[in-house]
Amino acid sequence: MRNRMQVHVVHRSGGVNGCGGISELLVWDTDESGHYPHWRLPVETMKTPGDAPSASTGSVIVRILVSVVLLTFAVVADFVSGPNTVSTIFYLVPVSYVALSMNTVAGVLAALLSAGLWLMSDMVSYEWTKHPVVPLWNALAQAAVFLLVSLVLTRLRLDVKRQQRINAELRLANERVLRLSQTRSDFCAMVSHELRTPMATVREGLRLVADGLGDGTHYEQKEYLRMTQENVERLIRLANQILDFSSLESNTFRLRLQDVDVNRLIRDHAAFVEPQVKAKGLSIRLELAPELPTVRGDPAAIAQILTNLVSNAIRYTTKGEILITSKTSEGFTPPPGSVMPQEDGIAVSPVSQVPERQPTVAGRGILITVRDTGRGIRDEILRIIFEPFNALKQTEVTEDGGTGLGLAITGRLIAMHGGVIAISSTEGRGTMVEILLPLDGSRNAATHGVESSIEGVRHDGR
Amino acid sequence: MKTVMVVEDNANLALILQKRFTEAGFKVESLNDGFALLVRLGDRAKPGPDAVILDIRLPGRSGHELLDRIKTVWPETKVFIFSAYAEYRTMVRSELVEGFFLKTDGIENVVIAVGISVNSEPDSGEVGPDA
Repeated sequence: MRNRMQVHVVHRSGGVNGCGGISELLVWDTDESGHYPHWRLPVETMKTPGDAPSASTGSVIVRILVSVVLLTFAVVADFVSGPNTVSTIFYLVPVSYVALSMNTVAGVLAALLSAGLWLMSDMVSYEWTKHPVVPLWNALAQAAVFLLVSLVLTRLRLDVKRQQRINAELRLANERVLRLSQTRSDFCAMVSHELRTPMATVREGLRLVADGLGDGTHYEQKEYLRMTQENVERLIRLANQILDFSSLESNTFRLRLQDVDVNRLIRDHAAFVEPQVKAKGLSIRLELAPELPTVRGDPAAIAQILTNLVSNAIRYTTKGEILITSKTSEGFTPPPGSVMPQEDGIAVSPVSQVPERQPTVAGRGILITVRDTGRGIRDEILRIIFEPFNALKQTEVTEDGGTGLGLAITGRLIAMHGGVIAISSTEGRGTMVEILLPLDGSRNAATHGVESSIEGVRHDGR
Repeated sequence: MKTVMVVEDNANLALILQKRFTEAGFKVESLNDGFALLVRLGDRAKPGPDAVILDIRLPGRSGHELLDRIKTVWPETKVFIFSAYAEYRTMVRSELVEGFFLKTDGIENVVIAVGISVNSEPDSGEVGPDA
């Protein structure tokens, strides 16, 4: 029987190229017989990229030989073609080759050598009685041209090399980020699983104790018990949401598509939360369009979307009502001032206040709105509303028992259905969430058409 | 009296399941690993239960492996999966199981679902409200 689980982070100081950091996460189980490793997550330290092995001696000799051969060709061609040809082009071949394949010094030497050979060839056939200094001037001009070409090509070679090094660095950094992200997801999933069994036991044990207290006068005990139970529920919710989120993050989350009666889901959920709503002195009202067509989706996922939105509405509303509506809609225009998640489901794109600049989502769908008369959402929080763990950036959410993951999960679930969500809010007056789920199922069926799963949602098989 | 078999290796949860089902008017048989279930499946003298609450990660044999065998030997028995791993929901063949519950979904919901499924009248007074 497992008693305790410990996580050890193994640091490697120094490491490869002096780059220290976490090298392993070790997860241990501890029982009567001692410790035994349960899980081992290697986290490779990053190698310094870009230091490609320098050219071997063999390849340098080959390059020198090729350069010599090209230069010899140029000289021969220069001599054979006679004094009246433009022989510059013959020398540009070896100069370019050296500049592109070897280092800067070799390029300069090749340019000067070519100019010298050019001068020799010129002097052999030159009639010195004409003008004794002309070949020298010509050779100087040639040297300038060769040097220019050599330096330009050297610069080009260095730029290409630097670009390759940057690309290699980026590739390695990207691989590392992916690996770390996978490690984190695996770790979250494992920990959450391990948490479920003990938390279920604690919750059920507390319920048995609560039942045992009966209707007696154990007021104080009952209060402590209620407090403990509330916090266990909160822990369970957190574990479930972390697990949902990590499975969405690691793309292991799949939808199980079928024809869903949205109105029925709304009615069921409203009935489920009604006692809670009444206990807070609120009311819940439904305005559902009759004969709403079914939508192609995962009923458990849509139920979870509703659960998240309605529980937020209840949590942040102290007086008034919660209104849920449904109807078919030809497209969707988010209200000015609302926010929508971008394609990744996280980053928010605020909808312009200018009506003609509002984005419009085309296509027929079912429009669901959840509206409350609660305290509303401040602008700075609205901007991060779809970010996971946004509860860390604000205090009031955590105080109220939110995990800061609900809307991040909701946004992604809606995106997986090919739908859109927009949230608008006026501080002190309430919040409205609008969702459009497409009736044309082809979009999501193509990408998520396999049998698939959803976590953390009750499914009782009825 | 309807019978329910609880196959769960966590002794604490097994105890609570047993207590809740007993309160709801079921006759409960408790097994704590896959081997025990295998042996029980081989015992043709005893009839199968009306429902089985099956954990997936079990010592001996996994509930996953045993599911087919349960439905072959006891075709009338309703099987409910009770696991900490949500991923198993897509791994088990849905035509073989009556319901899938996470361990954190609340045992009272399991009892209600089993009650409805086996057409029994669970003692409603014992079922607490969902928090």
